[in-house]
Amino acid sequence: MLGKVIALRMVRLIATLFAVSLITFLMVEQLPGDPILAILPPEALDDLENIERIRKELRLDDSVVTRYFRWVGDALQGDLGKSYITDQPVSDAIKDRIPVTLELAFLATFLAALLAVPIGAFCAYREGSRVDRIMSGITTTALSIPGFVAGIFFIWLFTLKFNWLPSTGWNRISDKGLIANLKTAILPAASLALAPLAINARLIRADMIGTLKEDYVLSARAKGLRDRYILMRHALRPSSLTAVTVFALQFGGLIGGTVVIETIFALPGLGTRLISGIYQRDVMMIQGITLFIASVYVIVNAAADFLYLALDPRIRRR
Amino acid sequence: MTESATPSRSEALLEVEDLSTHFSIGAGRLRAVDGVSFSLQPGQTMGIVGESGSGKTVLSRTIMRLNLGNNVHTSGRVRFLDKDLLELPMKAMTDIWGQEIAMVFQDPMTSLNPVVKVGRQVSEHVRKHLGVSKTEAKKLAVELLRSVRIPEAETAIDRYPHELSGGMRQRVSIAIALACSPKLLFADEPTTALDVTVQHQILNLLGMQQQERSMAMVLVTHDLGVVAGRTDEILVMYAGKIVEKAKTAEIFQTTEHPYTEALLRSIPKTDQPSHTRLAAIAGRPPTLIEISKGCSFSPRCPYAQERCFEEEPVLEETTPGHYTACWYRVGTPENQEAWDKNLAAGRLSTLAIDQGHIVDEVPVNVGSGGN
Repeated sequence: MLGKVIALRMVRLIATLFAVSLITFLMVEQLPGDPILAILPPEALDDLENIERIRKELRLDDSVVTRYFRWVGDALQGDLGKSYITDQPVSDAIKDRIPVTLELAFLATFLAALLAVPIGAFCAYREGSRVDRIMSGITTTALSIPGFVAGIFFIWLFTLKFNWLPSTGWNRISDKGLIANLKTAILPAASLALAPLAINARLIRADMIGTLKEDYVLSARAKGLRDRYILMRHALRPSSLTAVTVFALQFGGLIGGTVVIETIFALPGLGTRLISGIYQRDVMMIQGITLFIASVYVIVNAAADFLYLALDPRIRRR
Repeated sequence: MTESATPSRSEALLEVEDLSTHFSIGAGRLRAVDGVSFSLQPGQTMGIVGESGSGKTVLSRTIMRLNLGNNVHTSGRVRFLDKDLLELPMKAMTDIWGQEIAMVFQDPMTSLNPVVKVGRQVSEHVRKHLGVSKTEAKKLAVELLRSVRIPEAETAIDRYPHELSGGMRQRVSIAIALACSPKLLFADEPTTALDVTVQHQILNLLGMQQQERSMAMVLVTHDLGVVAGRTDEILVMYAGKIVEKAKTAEIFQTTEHPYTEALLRSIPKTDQPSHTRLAAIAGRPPTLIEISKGCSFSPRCPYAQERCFEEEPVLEETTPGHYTACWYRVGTPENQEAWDKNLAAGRLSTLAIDQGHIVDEVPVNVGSGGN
């Protein structure tokens, strides 16, 4: 039963990934301008023979279909092609940049979850109280502040005002150690965490208000268990299904969505590499990074489906 | 409300005095429980009987202080041993819940947490109350499941509730309630959600456990058949009030309140040949929001007279230990007279019984205009 469910979802996952690759390819294909023009220096543009030679060399003269399947076929073997500009393999660029982006995404999700769970649970427990109403105001505000505005505010507060943290740059754990690394990561991560935190605190609150009305919560009370224990051990898990999905979606979104924050804090992440690829019209780089980000998003979503199975034993039977 | 002086007052395990629970709702004040008094001796069983909406569930939850929300208004007194339960801080209640007073809920489909394994649900509060270790708690969980006759208890502790049948789940609920050997157990319609074949097993199990542990029990039900052989005393509730209270045998032999009589008729047993009337009570219980003067059962009562619609009867001791709130008690000449009069006048609820009709809606003005 369970095996069938998993197999079915795997088939769906593969189909989605295939669609993602096709759309990514076609979209980049539709970008205006000839990639060759971006490769060559302006003075070489008159030499038509040379342009044709390079076009042949890069096999850009093949049909769209041929190039697509060649690209996908190579990608399946882990080869996303080489940058036309720098000759760097796209997969190397990703490998080089992904640790920063991944760490930011993880840290932001962790921060959001760490705060959203107790805030949501407490507001549900004290539904309608002053704390609940104040928190509701705060989450609304947090939701309406774009991440980059928060980022700029954090820089003003923690760098300019108090000078506690650096405003830009990145310390690798391998070079400078964890503390130095966190010092550069915490502000961008906090900027990224703000919206997911607000959304999830609200989701958990709403779901938990429903759960707290369940009979099994009353029977847990009648057993003499303490309120905090009931909230965390009995009510949280059934109330977290929506939040888990949204966390997964947000995490997937963060992989690609750190572009602006990475730019503000001048971090060497995937987002800044993608941006520079776009500026340079580096087709292979854009294609490869986009496919990678989209794949991560889709896979994380599928993983959330499996998390459901762990959270709610009743689904395992269906 | 007049109330009995209980014979052995000092020994009582539970004493409820003039207990009322009202809910403020949009439409007004809902009087779910209104001036209820009774007492319960250690080891005894009290049956609380009434239709849905008669206030019996709210009464048991009020005594346990499980009614939540700021729209609940409770007054009166609940003495349990030497404690005044309604005066205790909520933190002190968590030491009483589960340990001294426990409850078995109506629907085992919803009263067990679907995402927590059975073993933990049975033993988690034991760990809290008695401070036993994790391994001891696990051993205890197995023992408890065995004591409520759950087969393969060792593997059952690792199951989730949805993997068990309804009867098994209710056994789990009972195991949870019994885990800390409480002195008082509330069983709120413990068999209503179960198959008929399973109902008796569960009731017998409850009775057996009660005797083994010499625990007092309040058995809440809408079915007089359930409490017949299993309780010492029965309390019949209607519209949030006690309408009749007596020893179990007494209430079956000399039923005094028309509502109790109607409930008895609705048991699908016909060992009383004189009662060949329809097994249904005409009309519906009142909404409990508007305050009606007179007896709240009067619109549905086949014996109701002018006085019943005007003046509310009080709970009176008619024979020693037997309390009834009715102007025309069943079995009295006045009652027979009232019946004849209503039948002649063609009063709906009387006709329903006499001719075997079912009357769903009894017009509100029946009382004032009908007879």
